Amino acid sequence: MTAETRVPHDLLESVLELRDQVIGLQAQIDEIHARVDDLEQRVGRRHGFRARLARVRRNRRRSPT
Amino acid sequence: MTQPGDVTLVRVTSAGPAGAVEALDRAEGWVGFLDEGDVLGRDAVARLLAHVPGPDVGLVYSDETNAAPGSGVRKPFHKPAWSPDRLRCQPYTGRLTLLRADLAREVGGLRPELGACAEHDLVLRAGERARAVVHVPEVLCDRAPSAGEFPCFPPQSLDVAIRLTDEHLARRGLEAVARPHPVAPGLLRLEPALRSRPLVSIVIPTAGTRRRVRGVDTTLVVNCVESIVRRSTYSEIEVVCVVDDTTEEATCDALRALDPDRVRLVPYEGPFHFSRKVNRGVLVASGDVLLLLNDDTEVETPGWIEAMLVYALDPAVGAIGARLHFEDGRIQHMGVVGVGGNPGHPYHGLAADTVGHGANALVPGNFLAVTGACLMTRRDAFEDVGGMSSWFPASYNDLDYCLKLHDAGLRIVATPDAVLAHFESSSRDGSVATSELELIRRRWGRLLRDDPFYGPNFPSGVADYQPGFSTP
Repeated sequence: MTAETRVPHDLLESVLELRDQVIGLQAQIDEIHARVDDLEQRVGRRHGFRARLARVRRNRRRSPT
Repeated sequence: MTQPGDVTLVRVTSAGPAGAVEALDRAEGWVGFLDEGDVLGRDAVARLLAHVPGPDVGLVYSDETNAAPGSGVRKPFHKPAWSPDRLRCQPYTGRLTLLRADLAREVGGLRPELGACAEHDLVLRAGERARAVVHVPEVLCDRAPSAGEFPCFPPQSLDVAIRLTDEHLARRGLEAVARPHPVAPGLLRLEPALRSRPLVSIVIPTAGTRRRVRGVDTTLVVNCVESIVRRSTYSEIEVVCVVDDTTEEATCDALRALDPDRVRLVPYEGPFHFSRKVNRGVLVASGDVLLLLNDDTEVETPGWIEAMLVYALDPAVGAIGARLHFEDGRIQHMGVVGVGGNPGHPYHGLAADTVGHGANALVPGNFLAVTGACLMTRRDAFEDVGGMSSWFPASYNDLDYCLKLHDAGLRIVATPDAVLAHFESSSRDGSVATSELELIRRRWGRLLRDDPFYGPNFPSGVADYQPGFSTP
């Protein structure tokens, strides 16, 4: 392997690894959301955690202080 | 909300669906088919439609019971989630299947000239167009004894089944033709009819391990590559061997000598890391189609690459697995399923002629995953999902890769038409690190607990498709 080809391959390997990390972390977030939904259903929550979280974030953007 | 009155059930005779064209013209809501002697379970239609979440669903089907040959004992047939790659070779959706009447008309309705195969033709065409298909894993129909042990085409109408399947393959742009199944009358197999000949890069991570194969001391990777270059009928290949720096020079020389034009060696330094070795090989490789292969495999069927390419050229498919046998011929792999939160290999260790549940060992199938010991995938899909995860250096990297593809909406296929021997885990320690098991569960725990292709009806802890008691 020459020095000319080593650099792009290293970069491409990094790109692959970062893409994998994004997908893997998103999968873990989805798993956690599903567990929260499951537990909230058991305790009788009517509205999902994702919807409440989105509402909190919207409100936070409206009042940045 | 669909009312029971919105469902039209058409009686099927040996000549095909009776008066079905007229019935379909008049039908509103949903339409389905029943043979004389089929018995629906209580509230079957309502129970089926209760699982339809919205208007995107064009097709919904349930499980069924069939008569075992000879004894007549009823046995449940629990079906997988929507599996178009199986449907081409076996009309597995069987009873009870309901289609949206407007979708059935939109795809051209029934073609009565197809006789007993007209219903399957309609299911194929509706399946191509439906935005979503739902499988309800409940037994809702007891099939007529004449239906046989598992859904299949009427053997006397096999030529019609082949014709309509060829039409379907042409509509989908798949480079194959249908042929009678070599073992099971009433099933089909796909024969590759490739118009394109893409370069296939076969990537083999290796440490140059030796072991006894059939009583002979063998360098596994040399044996593997020799079987590829000697037996494969597909010639547009390059073999990229990613070799540890500890590999003997004699092994490297033997590999180069096998086919100097098509065999390339890529050096790898550092401790064993399967994923990084695969990724390194892929980045050096030139082909748009990749075939990841363990060095402890050996090609058996000369047309193995073509058999897998048929699926790899379908942009809706992400990965294709082969059928792997142990050295003594028993089954090692024909797909990977999720069982109680763990991955399982169906029919592991059973005889090569195992028919399987609903004949699923005889036909191509859709699965959550296939083993990376022999896995074909397109380069674009590989790059899109970040290749093999470096978080899994030794185990579950293939499972994780397939689940990333599944999560991206791509299908995973295992075909029985590509057969290799696999001298499993002979090249490294087969134990699994706890951290890898924990991470695969953190990423994909739900899918491994509730595998839609395996279903909830097989209570045992192993992937043996042994159902519990179930009635319609």
